[in-house]
Amino acid sequence: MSKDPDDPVLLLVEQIQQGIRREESCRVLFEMHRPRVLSHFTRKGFSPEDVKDLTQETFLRVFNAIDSFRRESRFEWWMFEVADSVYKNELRRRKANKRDGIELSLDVPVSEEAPAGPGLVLTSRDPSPEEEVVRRERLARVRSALHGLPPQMRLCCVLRYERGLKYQEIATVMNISIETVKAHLHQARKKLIATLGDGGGEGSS
Amino acid sequence: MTDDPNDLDGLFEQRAGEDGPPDPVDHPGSEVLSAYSAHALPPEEELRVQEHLAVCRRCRDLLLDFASFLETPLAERTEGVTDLAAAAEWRALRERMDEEGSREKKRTRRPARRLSYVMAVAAILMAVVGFYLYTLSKGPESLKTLEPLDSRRGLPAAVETVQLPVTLLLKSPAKSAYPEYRADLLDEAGHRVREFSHLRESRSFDLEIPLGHGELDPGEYRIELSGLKGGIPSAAGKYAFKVVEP
Repeated sequence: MSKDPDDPVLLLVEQIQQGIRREESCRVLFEMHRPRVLSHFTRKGFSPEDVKDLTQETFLRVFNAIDSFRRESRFEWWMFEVADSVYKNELRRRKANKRDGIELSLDVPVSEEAPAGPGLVLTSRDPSPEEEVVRRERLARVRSALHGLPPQMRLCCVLRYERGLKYQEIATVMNISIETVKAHLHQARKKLIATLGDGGGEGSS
Repeated sequence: MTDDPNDLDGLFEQRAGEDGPPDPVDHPGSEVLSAYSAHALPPEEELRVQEHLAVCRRCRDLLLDFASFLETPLAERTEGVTDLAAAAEWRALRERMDEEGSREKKRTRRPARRLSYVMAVAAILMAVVGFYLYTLSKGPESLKTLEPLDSRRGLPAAVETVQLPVTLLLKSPAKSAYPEYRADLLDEAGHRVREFSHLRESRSFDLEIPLGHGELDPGEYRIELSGLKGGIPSAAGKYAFKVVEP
């Protein structure tokens, strides 16, 4: 992939790979990226001591394998994958197998946003057979209406209403700004309401 | 239905509670996701990745995690200012890198080192064995002086005990009476085992009889010394000794 030849990080990586001032370059690379890796493991819910150990393990692997970095991906991505691998190994080592539980901090709803899909489930109840038929018909109409939307708008709707992502998460996943997400969802809402008509929202208000 | 945003939540409310479809088996490669996050994909491919992300929780989580990873800015490099915690962690990391490096070197060196140990031990063994053989064959021999039996007349006949190799120094009873001597070495049964001819007295009237390692079996032997004058032998003395195992 294309990259900025003057990127200071890539210059450091090249120096390390070529053995030019290797130790000094490693130190600088470590000091630059250390806060990022520390934060990564802190977000995962590890204790400060574990965070330090896992960060050290990550950099140890990075420097041991840096000669194999071939610029097929961004260096940041490559380093992130190493950290992710260290994280998964640690989970396996602890035999906790509770990744979702540790990642809870990522799923805390943003205060200014109404909780999306999964939050609503808590208020749902088992539908009667009649309600189930109505629900299925309504979903079929929603699906059909969704397919009539422009691709990016449709995907924003899917991520928001089916997958329960927050606006910022949709923006990240879709690689667009949060304003664009909001605009897409607003437009989609209008179009869906127009397509579905009053019947589409029966019983939903 | 109104224009209230919650209306759509209502439309989806039942679906959101259901388990979504299982994640697809095929995922974009690491380099594709990396390029996607960097806006480096062509529009069609970007859309394909987006379509995948809409149905794949694993890749979505990975991207979201990566975005969080990037949220923390890189540390700025400020001249003359050192983060003490970072410096301490760097030292610890360096130590581990050195440890692993030396362990790796040991791993790669081990076969060569083992071979050199074996060769060194073999060389030492060869040297020891060689030296032993040398001392057996060429090493300095012990000397043993034998008095003629005749001179012990009246005394019990003592038989000198020797270990091979040895040089017997026969005390000449004739003392320069003959220009040369001959010694016959006889075993216990009286059979001649060796003959030493053209022997000449030393300044101290000794006659040297060298016996090498393994030259004689253990047992008692006699030496009959003859003096030669004009080619005619005359009995000059008798000697006795006993060869024992070293």
